[in-house]
Amino acid sequence: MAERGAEPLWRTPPGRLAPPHVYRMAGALGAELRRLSGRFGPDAVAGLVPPVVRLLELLEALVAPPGAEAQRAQAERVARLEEQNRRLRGQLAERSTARKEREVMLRLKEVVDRQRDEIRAQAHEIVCKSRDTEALQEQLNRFMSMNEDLRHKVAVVQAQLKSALEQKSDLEAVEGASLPAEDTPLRPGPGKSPAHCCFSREELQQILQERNELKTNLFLVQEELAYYQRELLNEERIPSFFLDAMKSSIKKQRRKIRAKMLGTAEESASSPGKAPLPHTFICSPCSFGLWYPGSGREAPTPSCSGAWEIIDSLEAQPEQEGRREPDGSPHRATPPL
Amino acid sequence: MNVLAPVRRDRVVAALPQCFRKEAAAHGRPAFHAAVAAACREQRTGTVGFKISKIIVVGDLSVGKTCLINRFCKDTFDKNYKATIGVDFEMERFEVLGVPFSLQLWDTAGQERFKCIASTYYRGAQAIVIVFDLNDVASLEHTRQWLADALKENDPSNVILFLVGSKKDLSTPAQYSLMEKDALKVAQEMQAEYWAVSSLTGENVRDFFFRVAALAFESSVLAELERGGARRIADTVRISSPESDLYLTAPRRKPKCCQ
Repeated sequence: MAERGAEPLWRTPPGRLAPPHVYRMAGALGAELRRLSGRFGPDAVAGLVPPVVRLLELLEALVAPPGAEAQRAQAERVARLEEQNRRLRGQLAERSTARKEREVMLRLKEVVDRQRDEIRAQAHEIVCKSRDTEALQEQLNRFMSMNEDLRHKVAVVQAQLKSALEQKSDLEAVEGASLPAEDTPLRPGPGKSPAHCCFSREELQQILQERNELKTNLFLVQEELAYYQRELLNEERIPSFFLDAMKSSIKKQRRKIRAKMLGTAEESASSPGKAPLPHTFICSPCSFGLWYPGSGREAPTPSCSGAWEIIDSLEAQPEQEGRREPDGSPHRATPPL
Repeated sequence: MNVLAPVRRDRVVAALPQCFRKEAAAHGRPAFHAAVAAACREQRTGTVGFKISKIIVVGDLSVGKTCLINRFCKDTFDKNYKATIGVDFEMERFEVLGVPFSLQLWDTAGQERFKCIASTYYRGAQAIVIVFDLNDVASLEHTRQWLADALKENDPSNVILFLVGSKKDLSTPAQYSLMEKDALKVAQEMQAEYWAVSSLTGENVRDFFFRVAALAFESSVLAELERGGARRIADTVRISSPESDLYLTAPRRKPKCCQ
């Protein structure tokens, strides 16, 4: 039986050798050794058994399928890794939710910070605005009182103008006979009956001059009023010191324009209605010459160089604007009634 | 403190208004003198002033001097005749090329007895408007005398003359064209610019005063530049325009008919 099985067993090519073959070889060798020890006594094989056993062991080790151990180890490792992976994934999930929470927190903090800043800025702005409002209110009050002033002035001037115009129409009614007597002095004396009253040429000239002055005044006051009215509408803030400076400059310019319109020297214009006309119109050497071409050439002063005067720009700025007015507001002398 | 649009919108002169008849115009230029336009452009940057030009309106009694002024300044018309005593004036504010500019229109009495008073107001006029009645040849004849009187008080080389025929609405086209022929001749003689207007209908009134304002403004600026008084304007202008150009138009030809 050993013989039968031995033949193919021992001829197994080394490539196909597997552990069962080795076991079977070990069995065959064991049987043979037992037979030998039975025949020649156990001592005879005692020296042979350990090396044979060792050889068989080595053979078994060599023949054993190569992956078996490694596969086990690998499977183990894979399992370990998967386990680890699972653990890590769990950790990661935990951690990412934590991070998200933190992000949200940070964003919320940002929003809170920004809103705090905004609130602070707005509070500041409110303070500023309320200060502005107060100042504007103050300015408005000032303007309103100024406006009232001007209205009053206009009313006065208008009344004066009206009476002057009445005088004029009276004069017109009477003037028929009186005028040709050119330089004769006042005729009616203390009689005072207006129907018989006559006017000398000088008186007529005085009346005209007065009327012109009133008209000029009215024009200037209306312009000034228009200017302040527009300033009120303009909403632009003007510091009070500037306003004062402007007012005084306007006053100065008014004198100049007055003088220009009336063709008088500037100084005499400061006492309206009192400058004797023949003097200012005929005798004064600088009456028209200062303001109009032709005669102005002999005395070219820098401040009045031409047909018009170019007022020093620094001085003129407010004045210039003073001459401007909102649309549609009256800007001419009131028409004679 | 910046303020714009100072003047009523219908008193803004942005371009030179055209003359009424080419045969009798103050000058034939279609636009403002280049130096003037440049000066105004420059002026926007700073120099400002209150500019007034004196305009006197003369002519026979009841030709419609007061009506003409009232039509323009107050847009009214009163059919009743009311003689002007001595003089009267109206202020009219314009804005020419962005520069505020005012006309002081002096309305004078036409009656002989007021002449001595009215003539004291002739001085320093920048433009003389001589009015006659388009339906009254005598009033046209008298314009020569009115001009002579007005020029006695003024430098003839420095004033702009206008010959204005009034009451155009009262004359038929045929009568008018006859009258215009004579008027043009007179205007050419005195080197005045001719206009025909109607204060009743308002025909040409506005155009006429705009032309007056524009020409007075132009000549004022030119005089200013020539004088060199306002150096700020003159300097900036001389860069862009030949200096000779400034003086070309300034010395005015003397009218032939007076003196």
